[in-house]
Order: sequence, then C-alpha cells, then structure tokens
Amino acid sequence: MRSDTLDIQEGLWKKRRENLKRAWYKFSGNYLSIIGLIIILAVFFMAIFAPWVSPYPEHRGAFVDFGNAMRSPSSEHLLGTDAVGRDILTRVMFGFRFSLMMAFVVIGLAAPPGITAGLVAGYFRDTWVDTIIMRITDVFLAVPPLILAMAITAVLPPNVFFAMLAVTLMWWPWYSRLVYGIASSLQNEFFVQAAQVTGASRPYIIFREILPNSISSIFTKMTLDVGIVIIIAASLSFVGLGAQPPTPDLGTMVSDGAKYMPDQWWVTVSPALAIVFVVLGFNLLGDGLRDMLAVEEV
Amino acid sequence: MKISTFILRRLALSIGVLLGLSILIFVISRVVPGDPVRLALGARAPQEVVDKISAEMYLDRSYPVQYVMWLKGVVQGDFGTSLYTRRNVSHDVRVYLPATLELAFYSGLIMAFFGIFLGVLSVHKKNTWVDNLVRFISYFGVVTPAFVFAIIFVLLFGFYMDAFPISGRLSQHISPPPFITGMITVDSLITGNFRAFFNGLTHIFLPALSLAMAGMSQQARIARSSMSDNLNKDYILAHRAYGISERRIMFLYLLKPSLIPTVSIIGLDFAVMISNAFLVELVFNWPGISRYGVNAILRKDLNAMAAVVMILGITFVVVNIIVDVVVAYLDPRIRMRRDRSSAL
Repeated sequence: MRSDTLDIQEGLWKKRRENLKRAWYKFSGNYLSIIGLIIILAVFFMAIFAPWVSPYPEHRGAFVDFGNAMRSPSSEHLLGTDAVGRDILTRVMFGFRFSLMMAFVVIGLAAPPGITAGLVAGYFRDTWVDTIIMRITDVFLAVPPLILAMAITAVLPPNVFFAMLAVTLMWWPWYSRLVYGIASSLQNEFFVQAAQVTGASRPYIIFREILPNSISSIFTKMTLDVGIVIIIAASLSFVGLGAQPPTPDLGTMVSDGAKYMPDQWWVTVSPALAIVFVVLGFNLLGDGLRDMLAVEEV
Repeated sequence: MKISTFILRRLALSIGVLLGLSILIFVISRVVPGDPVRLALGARAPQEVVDKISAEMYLDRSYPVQYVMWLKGVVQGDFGTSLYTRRNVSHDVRVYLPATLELAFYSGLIMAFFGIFLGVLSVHKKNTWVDNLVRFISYFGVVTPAFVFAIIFVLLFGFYMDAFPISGRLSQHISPPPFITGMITVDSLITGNFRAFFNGLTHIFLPALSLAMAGMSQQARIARSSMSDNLNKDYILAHRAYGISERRIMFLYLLKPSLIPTVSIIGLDFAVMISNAFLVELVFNWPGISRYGVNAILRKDLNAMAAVVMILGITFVVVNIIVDVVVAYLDPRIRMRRDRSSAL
C-alpha cells in the first residue's frame, strides 16, 4: 500500500518534469522569446550588480565634473556624459534598479488583492458580491491608470514611494477583471462541483481549485505588466511627478536631457532607448509565455 | 436583446460608473492632509483670499455636503474656481479642450488609416520581408513610450530634416483664425483662411503622429491576426475558386469581418491616447487640456485637476459607449451575449 502511494508520487514528479521539458522545448523554439529572456537577464544583471559592473559607480547621484560635461559617446563613456559630467551608462544601469523595483513592488502589491477580488466575484457570479466588486472595478477602469495615478500624486509629495503607491492603487482592477473572466467560467466546471459535493470549504475551492487553473493567465499578464508599469513609472517621472533628481531614474533623465536637443542628443536618447530596451525584453518574454501556455485572454 | 435595450442598459451602467468616478475624484482632491486652498495658494497668500475660496468650495461643511455641492456644479458644467489662475475652471476648459480634441482627431485618423493599411499590407505580403518589417515596426510601436517617440520625431523631423515645426499650434507670423470651435484647422477652413489651415496642419502632424504610434501598431497587429484567422475560412476559398481577384478578396470580403476586433479595441486605444496626450503635449508645447492638467497637478490646483480628470473620464466613457454600440451593430453575436466584458 505504501509503495503504491510512493509510486504515484514518483509518477507525478516524472510527469511534471516531462511537462517542464515540453514547455521549455516549446518556449525555446521561438527565438524572439529567447531574445526577450536574454535582454531581461542582462537588465537584471546590470541592475543588481550596478555598483560593481558600471564604469563610474560614483556618478549615480549628485556628482559634478564639469570638465567632462556633454561628452559625446566614446570608448570612455559608451553613452556619453550629461550636463554635469556624469557617465550616462552608469546612470542608466542604476536607473534599471528603480524601474525594476517599481514594477515588482507595484505588481507584487496590486496583484494579490486584485486576484482575490476577481476570484471571489467570479465564484459568486450573478450575486450581490459580484455586483459590488465588479462595479467598483468598473469605476477604476473608467479612467486610464496614468491619469488617475497623476491625480493621486498631485496631492502627495512627489517622490518614488508615493509614485509607486499611486500606480498600485490603479493597478489591482486589471487583475480583478482578468481573473473574474476565468473564475466565472470555471465556477460551473465539474471539478468545482465535485469539490462542492465533497464538502470542501469555499476558501478551499476558490484558492485551491479555481486559482491554480487561472495561474498561467495571471503569470503571463504579470510579465507583460512589468513593461507597462515601467512605461507608466517613466511617464510619471518624465512629467515630474515621480523620482526627483539626483535619483538616477530613466524618465527623469529623458526629460532633463530633452533641454539639450538637438546638439547633445545622447543625453536624452540614451535613457529613452534604455526604457525601450527593458520594456521590449519583458514584452517578448510575455508573448513567448502566452504562446507557450496557450493563454487566450490577457 | 434589441439594440435599443442594449443601448439603454449600457447608458444606465455608464451613469453608475461616472457617479463612482466622481466620488473617487472627490476623495482624491479633497481628502488631502492640510488645507487644500492653502496648499495651492502658498503660505504667503492673504487669509481673506483663502477664506473666500474655502467658502466657495464649502470647505467648512461636512464632506458629504461638499461632495453634493461639487457634483451639483459639475452637472451644470461648473467646476469651481481655479486655485491658480483664479478664473472659472470651465472657462479654461473651453479654451484648452479643443486643442486636445483636434490632436486626438488627427491622431485617430492616422491610427485608423495607417494601422489598418499596415495590417492589410502585412497579410497581403505574408511571410515576406514587407510582412516582417511591418511586424517589427508595430512591435516597437507597442513597447516604446509616447514621449520617446515624441523626442525622436522632434530630433529627426524637426531638427535634422527641418521638415516640420516642433512647438505650438501656429507659426508666429500667421494670425490665428477667430475662435469658433477652438480647433485651428476647422476654424481656418470655416473662415476660408487656407494659409492658417496648412500651417496648422504642419504643426499638428508630429504630435498627432507621436500620439498615434502606439494605437497604430496595436491596430496593425490586430488587423493582421484577425485577417490571417479569416484567410483560411471556407468563404474565402469559395471566392478564390470563383476566380475573384486577390485584391478584391482582400479589401472587399476579408477586411470587413476582420474589422470587428480592430473596432472593439478603439476604446482601449483611446485610453492609451488620452494618457499619452499628457506627455506629447508637454514635449510639443501644445496648449491642450492635458498640458493644462499637468500644470494643475504640479501647482496643486485641485479644482482644475478634478475637472480635467472628470472630463477625460466622461469622454472615455462616451467613446466606449459609442464603440460598444458600433460593435454590437456590426456583430450581432455580441448583442445576444449577456457578458460582463460589454459592461465596462
């Protein structure tokens, strides 16, 4: 009897390993997803090890060297230097830190409540619970997130922390809506009915039966959202409502550098392309995941 | 469901959404730490002025009373006094909104025309270098923030090629047409001032293009994928078997049913467009409602900020109603379905 359960366990693990292998085979067949993965790994590497791999780590903050101001890209300064002589490549690497941190904090804080709300509303479809939750999300979805985030930052002091808070407050409804669609279609499936019949509690059904079945859509959306949140964060600081100088933030760097167009174009174009680079990576990876997991919505 | 019932239901839902939105905006704009009027006017403003505006905003009353009075004003088109310009916010809105609407109109034109054109081109030349180029461009359109496009266009077309002006709505030497609709290209056409019309067009081109890029790419991608899906359907095969030319099939029989998905994401495109307007208007010094909104936010002018967010919210909701009705008209399957996704 005991060895039987062990065999079943063994078989399950084997099956899982095979599934993973098959998934990787499918994923790696698409060279664009691999490019995305490489970009993201490179960005993570630069962000985490910025103090060690960046050429001039002391240039990250308030550093001034007017003798080297406005140097065009060269072998010494690959992306040139800015108006006060700081190496732009260094500041871009530290800027990746802020972008990634922003994206992970926002998604990490916004996804759990959003997912929970969507699951609950979907499970109690066509009841007052559903109506209340989904009408509230409708209100949040009625205005583009950037605009509401701006409005919130208006009444708060402009800094990175409040910018994150504002975007987080705007972000959870998107998860609610995604998960609601999946949960409300699953709530009539046989496996849910089976769990109900055997007397499983509602939290168990919601979190252990329905949630695992929506996880691939959630995961894909999270990957794609990293790119979108990075764009929104950069947009906020571009307008002047996010990170304040001398913080090395990509959006702030673009808006500061825009003053020196067209002659010192690299001051603004380098951080701008850095944003495109990281967002491109997450989008390629997200699209690859979507194809691999055969997720329709998102 | 009949289409009139559909529209009525849709309208009722939207009114609920707008009421909720007004509560949300009110909470954001009034429940600030400290005195909002003092915050906007600064420490040096005389106390009488602060008291006068506070009384106008009913700040001495309870929050529910303040909300009801504010909402009453909003319904009548009165958003209160701007804490910065000291003018009525509605007056400012009338001056700045047309510029943004004009920008959104041209941007929408570029988006729809080139988006669908690129999508058709991509399918027509499927798996050739043309297709790959279109897919490459539309991918970058999606991942590039609008302000990056704006800056690159300013550099390329403004400074290096010197082909288009990069700031404002008209050149200095052109006298603006009289204020009729507030949209320069429309007003100059009405008054027959073609010089101002063409000058206005050259000014609007770059900002409209920057604003259109994201939506255009999205449209191209959706058009391509929905046309590819329909390409293998039996009715297309039947048309081919009858010997109908490939071009005719493409534009007459394939495009129309494939347009439904592209129309239904116009609402989303519009959302992206009005968010991006905040960035593009800033880069091109475009005197529109979004730039006004950014300035209101930076100056903590809460009345003006609430007005801008509320107006954009209303515009967005109205656009979505129109899109839903058009899609329901095009695609009867949607009218029949009682689905939540139509209730945004």
